Amino acid sequence: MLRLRTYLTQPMSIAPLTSFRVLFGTVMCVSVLRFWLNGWVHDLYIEPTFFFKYYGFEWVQPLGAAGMYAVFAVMAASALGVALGLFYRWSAVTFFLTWTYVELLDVTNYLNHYYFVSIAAFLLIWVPAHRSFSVDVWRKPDIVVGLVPRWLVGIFRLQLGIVYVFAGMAKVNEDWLLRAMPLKIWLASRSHYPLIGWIFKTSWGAMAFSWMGCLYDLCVPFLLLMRRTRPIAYLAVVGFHLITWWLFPIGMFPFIMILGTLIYFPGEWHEKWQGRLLGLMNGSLRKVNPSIATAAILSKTVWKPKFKNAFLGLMFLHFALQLIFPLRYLLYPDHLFWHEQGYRFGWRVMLMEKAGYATFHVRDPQTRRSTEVQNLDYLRPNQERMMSTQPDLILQFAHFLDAEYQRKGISNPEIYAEVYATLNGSGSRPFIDPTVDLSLETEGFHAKSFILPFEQDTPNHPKETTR
Amino acid sequence: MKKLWMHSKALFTAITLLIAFGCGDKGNDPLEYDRAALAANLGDNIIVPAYSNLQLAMTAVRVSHASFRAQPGVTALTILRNDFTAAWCAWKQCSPFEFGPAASVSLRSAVNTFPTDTIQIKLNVNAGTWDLNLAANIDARGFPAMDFMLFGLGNDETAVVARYTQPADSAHLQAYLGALVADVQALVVGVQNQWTGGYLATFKASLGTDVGSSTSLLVNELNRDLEIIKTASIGIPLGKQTFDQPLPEKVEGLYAGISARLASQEVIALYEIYLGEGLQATDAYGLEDALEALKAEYNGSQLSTTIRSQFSTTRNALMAIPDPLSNAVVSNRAPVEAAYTEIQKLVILLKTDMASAMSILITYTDADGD
Repeated sequence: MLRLRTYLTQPMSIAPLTSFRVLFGTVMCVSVLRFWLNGWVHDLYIEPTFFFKYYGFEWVQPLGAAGMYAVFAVMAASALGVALGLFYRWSAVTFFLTWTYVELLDVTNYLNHYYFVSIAAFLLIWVPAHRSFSVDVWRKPDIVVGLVPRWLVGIFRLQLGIVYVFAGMAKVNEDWLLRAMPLKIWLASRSHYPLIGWIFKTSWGAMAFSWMGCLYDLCVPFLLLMRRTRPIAYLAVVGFHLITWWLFPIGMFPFIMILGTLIYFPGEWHEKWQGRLLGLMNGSLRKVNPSIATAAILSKTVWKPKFKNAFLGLMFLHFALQLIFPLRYLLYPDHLFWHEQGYRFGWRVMLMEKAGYATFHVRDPQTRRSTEVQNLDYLRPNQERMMSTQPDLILQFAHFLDAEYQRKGISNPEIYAEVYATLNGSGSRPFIDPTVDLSLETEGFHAKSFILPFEQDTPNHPKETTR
Repeated sequence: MKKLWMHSKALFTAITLLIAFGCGDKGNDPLEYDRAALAANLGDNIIVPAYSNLQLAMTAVRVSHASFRAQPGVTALTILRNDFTAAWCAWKQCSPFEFGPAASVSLRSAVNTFPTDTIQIKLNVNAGTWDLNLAANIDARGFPAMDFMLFGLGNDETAVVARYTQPADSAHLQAYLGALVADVQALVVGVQNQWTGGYLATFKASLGTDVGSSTSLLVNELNRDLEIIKTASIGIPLGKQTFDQPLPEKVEGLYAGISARLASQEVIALYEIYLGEGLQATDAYGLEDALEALKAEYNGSQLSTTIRSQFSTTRNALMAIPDPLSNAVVSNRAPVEAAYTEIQKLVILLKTDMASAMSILITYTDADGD
């Protein structure tokens, strides 16, 4: 224990942290601009009239066209600020707040890597990632530090490790390892890809990819930590993420991970590259103060947190939550992928092929007559698609319809959902109990009794005996 | 904790099995469908012939309208009406292809927005001048407007012919009808020219499953078309969105009284795309073959055959509705309800099972996932 403590408090170069700041800020700035240029600010945050809220964050509201574009402009600028290390704390706080605000606007846009960005931005607020290799140091040379306690860099290594290991643990299930699902489905429809397409159509190909993916996720953070295995592990990182980027529409995630995992490299490696980069800039841009380069690398000042105990307490809380929250699914009965209670915020990435179809019926208790809802009168196609497979969103939409039909003059409307879903090629089957009036159900952490079991024994849907 | 333990058990078992059997099961055939064959058959044998068929049908309408215009009479009107009905049914073969060239001119809404706006039509006719491309005229053009002009101006043939022979506005009526026919024909010719002039090659070459690939476009629009049948053709008239209050005036083909026929024609068109059957009725490579090749399953049976039989059940249910549908939704609801239920089952199979098995997202737009 004492040895671990000594090890963790040992001073090490600040360079891995500053590199992480630069790369993260840059890739986020590009991300935000790409999002904007794809027209998604409009499509996802201005056009919709209904937004799916996170439980407890119902008060987060969109700001209208001008407001949303302003938020994205500020977000891009603050990401750039983080990258440059310019007004760093303000930039980091602003980026974290704007990004997280936008993520909280609509559950249907949830992606694990968006959640990771929020967390990384949150962690960056608290660390002195601008105390070297930054514009702030160029402005105020006396803030420069060269060394930080090892645990400070460790925070980010641990966070990335948690992402990988949980992602790997989530893959340890029957469907993924024994039936190569859903990769079998996804790869089969990509067998026309050049070079390795022929592997995709074989059943052993999907099986091999499933196993490699699982082992990769479980092992890579540990292999990146060890000096001897680091080069090969990083090669695997680049290969793995480039392949997923090539195969699947997963946006910027591969690049975030490819650049983010560089933080596992030692301080000297980062110092060497930062020095080269500054040398290059000095060569071409004469006006740059050479002190940034030399001061940063040569400074032997060790950074110490001002409120050490508060800081360590915050980190302890954060990581305790990180380790416990993804496991909350264990408290719910039946198949996690089916009911999705405790699915989000658990690093379950590309785990299932699921599709659903939801029809809502509004019943007037006075006349005892029902009417069907056109979901697309209220939702965008992507919102409808996400809602149709996620029970909490189905409930939320039912509650919206309750209010909507109340407004239309029906007192106490009853809302019923007729939903069918298919999971990993299982065949579509009833998902939500169509006899339950969802307007009376409440949202919360309790298990939702209106979700029908995954394995069903009905005349139309005989229980599978092959499992 | 029990789940964690079960997971580790699964991992352990899997490792053992993998060691025991080398690289897992090798007995399966390759999982792959012939994308090139699918796109080629759809493009060459289904889509392009469907447009040329429609174009021929519209030419026939044009010719018979010219005779009717020259010599308005019951016989000429009957011929014109028959040609018109045939053309509307020919349109049903094209309706699912609302992507690429058709999407660029919004063909589906331009030629088949219903119910038609009879007040707007009368305004246009009275004014004697019109621009069919104006937004205000979106429900005063296309087949539904022609339906009104040919069947809705009087109770029987004689009454309709009388309207076209009245000196007061017969010239305007004839001109408007001619404009409607010419409008649809011009749109169809334009779309067909785009298909043969390059888009066919593009369609046959874009072989992925991403948003924008030919399979994805086709499956998305096929689903959308089926949902239009479900909602607009059957559901709304039946009162599915008005607390069971039937809305007979909302049917497609109100004046000709051919609503159920049009709906079944459209489902038949979708069925043929699914089977890969062109107008020549030869069963070549279709979506069914793709699902077969992918060995897609449905609760223990083959997905391809499940969908095939649901298509035929749905078609039969629609054909069992006696036309006019506008009467059936009021006084003979059972067969309409039955057909609606079958369409719903078909939508579920296509939108969840088929899309999932082929790894196609039903979103109509691009977005990131994870």
